[in-house]
Amino acid sequence: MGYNLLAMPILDAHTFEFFSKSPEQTRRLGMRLGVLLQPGDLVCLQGELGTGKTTLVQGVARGWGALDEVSSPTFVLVNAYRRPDGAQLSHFDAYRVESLGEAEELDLDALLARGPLLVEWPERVEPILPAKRLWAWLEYESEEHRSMRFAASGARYESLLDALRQAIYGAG
Amino acid sequence: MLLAIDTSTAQIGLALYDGATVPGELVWQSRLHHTEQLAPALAGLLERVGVTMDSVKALGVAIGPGSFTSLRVGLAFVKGLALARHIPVVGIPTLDIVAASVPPSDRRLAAVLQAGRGRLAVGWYKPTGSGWQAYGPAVTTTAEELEKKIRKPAIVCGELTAEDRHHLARRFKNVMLASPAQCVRRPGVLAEIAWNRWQAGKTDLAASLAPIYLHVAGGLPA
Repeated sequence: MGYNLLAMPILDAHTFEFFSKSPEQTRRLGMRLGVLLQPGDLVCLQGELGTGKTTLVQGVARGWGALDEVSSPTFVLVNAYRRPDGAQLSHFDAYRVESLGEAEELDLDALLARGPLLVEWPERVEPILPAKRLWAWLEYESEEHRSMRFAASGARYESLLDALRQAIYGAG
Repeated sequence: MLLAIDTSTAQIGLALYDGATVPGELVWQSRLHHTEQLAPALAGLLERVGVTMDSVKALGVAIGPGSFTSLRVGLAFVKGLALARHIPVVGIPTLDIVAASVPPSDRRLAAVLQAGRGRLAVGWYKPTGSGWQAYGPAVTTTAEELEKKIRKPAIVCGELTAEDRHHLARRFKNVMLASPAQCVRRPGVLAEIAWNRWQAGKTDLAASLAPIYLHVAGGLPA
């Protein structure tokens, strides 16, 4: 299970491509996604440093309704953002995870049972992630521009992606 | 009195045991709320039975396998009690509790519990004159895989979903499925095993007691 499997997918009905012209636009895309997230939803964000992962997460947290400020969880592995209704959005950064065993002990299933889960550097822990998920590839295009490609695996994520597409481009 | 606590899985169990009777035993399913429910439930049980923590002279705890978070909740709770009250603690493998509740038989026994995402943790036991004896380490598998592996008559007991039961029932000639009520992992049984270990002087160090985690994954991708 290496990086090859996780290469950019061919575009089809279950993928969606977005070009962001600014961090603000990336944040707004995140907000639209955050509004749609339900407990148990897994969103994987794959991209090198500086491709907008944290900016996207900031938008997702705001759209979802988080009370807490988003920070890059590089030193704490998992950040939890709360909402007034007691729900929790988890944000896992796999960059510093040293083994799959260590990642397993974080108990992603328990996090998913509490709310949605966002994973940065998901390719490092792919074998322990549920097969059904939304996977995003973020790429640096130029100083301000980023390309983002989303792929849905599983019925829940196909409808999530449809809803995201509609939220951005309107119905039809 | 010995207090037994089992938070290995979604099922939480509490029991009080005095060597001859089980004055109180509590079992319930808690999907997410082990942290919030454990201490109030213990307070409630003690109150109902009419004893205080002062009469608790030893602790028994299930150490897994099970789910990472729920195991940690129970172990942390028990360690806190043991260290604060200076009472001994005994850790018991969770599948041993399942096995101990199964009546003697000539068959082998597969003790199981839910390991998340439809998987089962399975430990194999063989009958001996002094009860069930584990052989080989516990493994993570699915009911479908387990069903394929059972070629000789065996008992399957423990946490099984309706779907798991359906898979295992296909091998009806070899698999004897324990009934749902028999499959409940009883904290009273944990208390009994822990009591015997305590009486034999085989207690564990609270500080070094560690959960048994079953890892599915190997190393990191290159």
